[in-house]
Parts: sequence; structure tokens; C-alpha cells
Amino acid sequence: MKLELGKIKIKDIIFANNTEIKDGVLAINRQELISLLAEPRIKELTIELAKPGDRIRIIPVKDVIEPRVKVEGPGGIFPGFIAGEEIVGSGKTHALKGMAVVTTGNIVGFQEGIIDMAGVGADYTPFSKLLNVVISCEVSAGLPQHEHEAVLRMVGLKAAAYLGEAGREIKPDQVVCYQHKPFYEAINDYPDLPRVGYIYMLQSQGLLHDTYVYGVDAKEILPTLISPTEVMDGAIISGNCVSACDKNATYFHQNNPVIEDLYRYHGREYNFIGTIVTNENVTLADKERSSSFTARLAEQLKLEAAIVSEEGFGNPDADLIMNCNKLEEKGIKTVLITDEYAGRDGASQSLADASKKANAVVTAGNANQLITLPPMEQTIGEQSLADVIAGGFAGSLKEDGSIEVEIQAITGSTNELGFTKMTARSY
Amino acid sequence: MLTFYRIITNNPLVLEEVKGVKIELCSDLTEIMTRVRDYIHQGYRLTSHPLAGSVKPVQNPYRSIVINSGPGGLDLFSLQVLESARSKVEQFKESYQKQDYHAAVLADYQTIDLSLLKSCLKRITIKN
Repeated sequence: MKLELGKIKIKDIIFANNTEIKDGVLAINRQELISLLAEPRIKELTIELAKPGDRIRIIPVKDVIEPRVKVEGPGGIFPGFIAGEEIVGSGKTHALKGMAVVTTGNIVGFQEGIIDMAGVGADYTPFSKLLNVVISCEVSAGLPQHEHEAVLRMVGLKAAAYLGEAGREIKPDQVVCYQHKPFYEAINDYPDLPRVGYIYMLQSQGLLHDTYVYGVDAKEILPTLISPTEVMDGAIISGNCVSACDKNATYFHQNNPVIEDLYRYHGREYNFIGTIVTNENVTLADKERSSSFTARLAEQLKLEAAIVSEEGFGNPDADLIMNCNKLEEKGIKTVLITDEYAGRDGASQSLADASKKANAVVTAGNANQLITLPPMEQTIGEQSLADVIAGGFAGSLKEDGSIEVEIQAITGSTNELGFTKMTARSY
Repeated sequence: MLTFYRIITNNPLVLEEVKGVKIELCSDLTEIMTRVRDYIHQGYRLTSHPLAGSVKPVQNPYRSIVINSGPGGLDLFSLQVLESARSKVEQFKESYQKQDYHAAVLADYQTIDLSLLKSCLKRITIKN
């Protein structure tokens, strides 16, 4: 399976009469996009632009998505939602780089997810560096939360697919080629290098805690193999936005840095054999079953080492440690990627579970760390939520518009795929 | 009737929405954790993990935990998971003051807890 990913650098985004890309500037016909997204359950929908350095606060962020378009090969972007169920991940795909679609909307009263486009908060989220098309969506009164979430999820995917379409005929600034070979060939390609795999954990527990694989709710899957190139075509979609710091927005899946780095050193330092997607369900029986299947698949692939990335905190810590234990018991060395809830002073136990076998752990930061976000000139969404979001507390929102919160309220701040720059090192 | 299972909860929405499983109502998170611990010492096992998915303990005032009567005898794994969760809850209590949430926010917290509980019940219903 071979995918050529064409990267089109977007230098600016503007509203105009026609949606098109000219000289790196994406022009958007706002009315056309609004008409495309309209459906009976949506009461009001607005589209605004937020650019790096703008004194804009976006809250509460639902999802962040990179516009992409499939220009050659089977299937289409976001299979199971926008495209059909055909297997993706081969041929050619164009991605609009340097920009994203951000959806915002109040599904529950304590919803979180802050992107500050300027000030100190901007340093904590990778999305402050992007040109953002922000879609605010208000739905009809009385719409159940599950449906509300689904409406917002589809709005984001439809908008990203629509904007991605503008890149179909554009010559990419850069083309990167990714190849995923059949396992037999992959194993024989570099017989002298250690065989490394990726265990890709997806949160899958209920409302605002779900992830989808080819349109299937991940809580219903057994761990399975997926080509990393399928992920780049949007085979994994986020329905997940609490807590904001360590939830994988769809953008993170499309640009998974673990996969990027595994490809980068493939054939030189190790042999990147494959990726196993697994879930994080609520029952202990599911956790046992999924971690056993994951370890068994890893053994069948003859992996010698595996990177395991967690999503979320709390009961997923149990999945992380079960995966670690069962892989290590089969002689497969593990490196775990997680974040920490170590208290505001950083002195408490970081995870809700532990194991002596978890002896190589990468942290993406302490989500309990306090920060004061300065007031912004404009808020897209609803700032009064700051008092009730995770990481906020009574009095979080000050009179001058500044917010004192834990960084867990900031979208992507402690991303457990390692997308951000934060970590901790021990010497 | 899922006779082997009990739901220990402080979420009033669970009483309204869930039928066919024995439900015990507690006043708060501390009482839930203590009662589940006591049941484990009496031979029960954890069916669902005691910590929620992502909404932090204490921040969400509601929690529902499912346990099952199991084959009898103390299940050390359940006990270890529960005790780790209890210490995490105590840690979170240090940072979060109890808030008087707006009624709509409380209802949303109840809905989220119920959604996670239903994810669990769906799995055990399939099993039985």
C-alpha cells in the first residue's frame, strides 16, 4: 500500500465569491459552505477566521480537522462518514497544510477546549499556529446530546472535505511518499534491524469519549491491523473532546507524529512493521480482551518492540498498563506515551495505574499545571464556560476576561501522541 | 434481570433510566468508593472501571460503578484497581472545591455518567 501525500502550503485564508486556492491563498465562499452544512437540526451556523497572533479565544472547541482530498486511488477522505467504506491509504492525497477547520458548539454545559490564538495560552496548543476556519454551530432546542455531538462531528468533516476539494487540481509544494508493505515482505526487508510496531489506543467509552474507525464506533471493534496510510486519509475520526488536553482531535490522527517518526527512521534504525488499533472501553472484561488481542497480534507480527500511545486519563490508564504488561510478558519491549495528572505541585502519582514493566515512559506534560490566560479581544464561542470546564474552577473567569485554569482545558496541550513540545525528563 | 450485577451510584438519572439491574444509591463519590470497596471485600468484583473516562473525578459530581458477585473469594485485582482509583479521587479532592453547578450543568454531568454506564451495561447484556 503506497500513498503519495501532496502538501499544499496555505499562506492565508480569506472570504471571497469563489472557493479556490490561488498563490497559496485559500479563498472561501462562506455562503456556499454554510448552505452545504445546513440541515434541519441546525438553528444557526456562523463561520469566522482566526489567524496566528489574532487576539481571539475559541471556546469550547469540539474538533480540529485538516482539509484533505483524495485525488487518485480507491476510496475517499473520511471513509464511513463522507466517503464510502472502501479501503483508503493508497494512491494520491492532497492536504492543505498550515490551516484547519475548528468546530465549536455547546454540547454539554461543562464543555472545555480552549484555543487562544495569542498570548501565553497560544504556546500550549499547536492549533494557535494554524490559519483556522472556525465554525460555530447552534442546534435546535431539545436536541439530545448524542445527536448534537453527531451533528457537530459531521459539520466539521463536511467542511474539511469541502475545503480540501479546492486543493484537488493544485500542484503540491511537497510530496511525501509512504509505503506500507505486506507483513511478510516488511519483515524480510531489513532482517538485521529490530522489528518495531505501533499500538494505537483509541478512547471509546460513550458520549464525548468516542472514536470511529471507518465509521465504526471503536468500542465495538476488536483490536485490528491498520495501515498508517489509511490513518492519513481520515480512517480514524474523533468524537472526543473531554478533557481537551489529551484528546486526539481528528487533526492529530491525520498527522500522527508517532507514525511520522516511525517512518522517518524506518530502514535505518529499525524496521517499522505495522500498526495495531485498539480501544479503551469501560468494562474490565473489555480491557482484558482488547489487551490480550493486541499482544497476540503483536506476537503474530513478530514484533520485538512497540510504541504504545494512550488517549485520555483515568480508566484508560488501566488499558495502557495491561497493554504494557502483556506485551512485555511476550518479550516485546514497550515505550509508553502518556500525560500526567500529578497535582498542581506535580508531586502526586501521575497515573491511576502502574507496573514495574512500564520502565520506558514518555510524558507529554502535567495536565494539572495552572496557567493564567490573558483576556482576548474576541471570543468565538462562550467564555462563561470557563468556570465549569475541566481544569477550571469557581472563579476561574476573572472580571477582566482572564482565565485561571489547569492546562487540561487547553486543546491538545498534553497530547499523548507527542504532538506538542512539552515533556519532562529525569536525569 | 441481571442478578449478578449491582450498580453503585449517586446519579438520580440512573434510577429513572436503567431497569433490570439492582441499583444502590449513595450520597456522594466517597460513599460510592467506600461501598464498592466493602463489596469487593465481601467477594464482589469490579465490572466497570471505577474511574470515569476523562471527566475528572470530583469535577463530575456523579459516578456509577458496576460490580458483579463473581465466583466468591477476595479478588485482589479488583481491590488493587479500586484502591488506586480511591487514591486518585483523594488527590483530585485537594485541587477542586465543590461547586454549586447550574441545574443544566448537573443534568449534563448526569447524562455523561449515564452514557458511560450504558456502554458498560450494553457489553454485559450481550454477555448474558
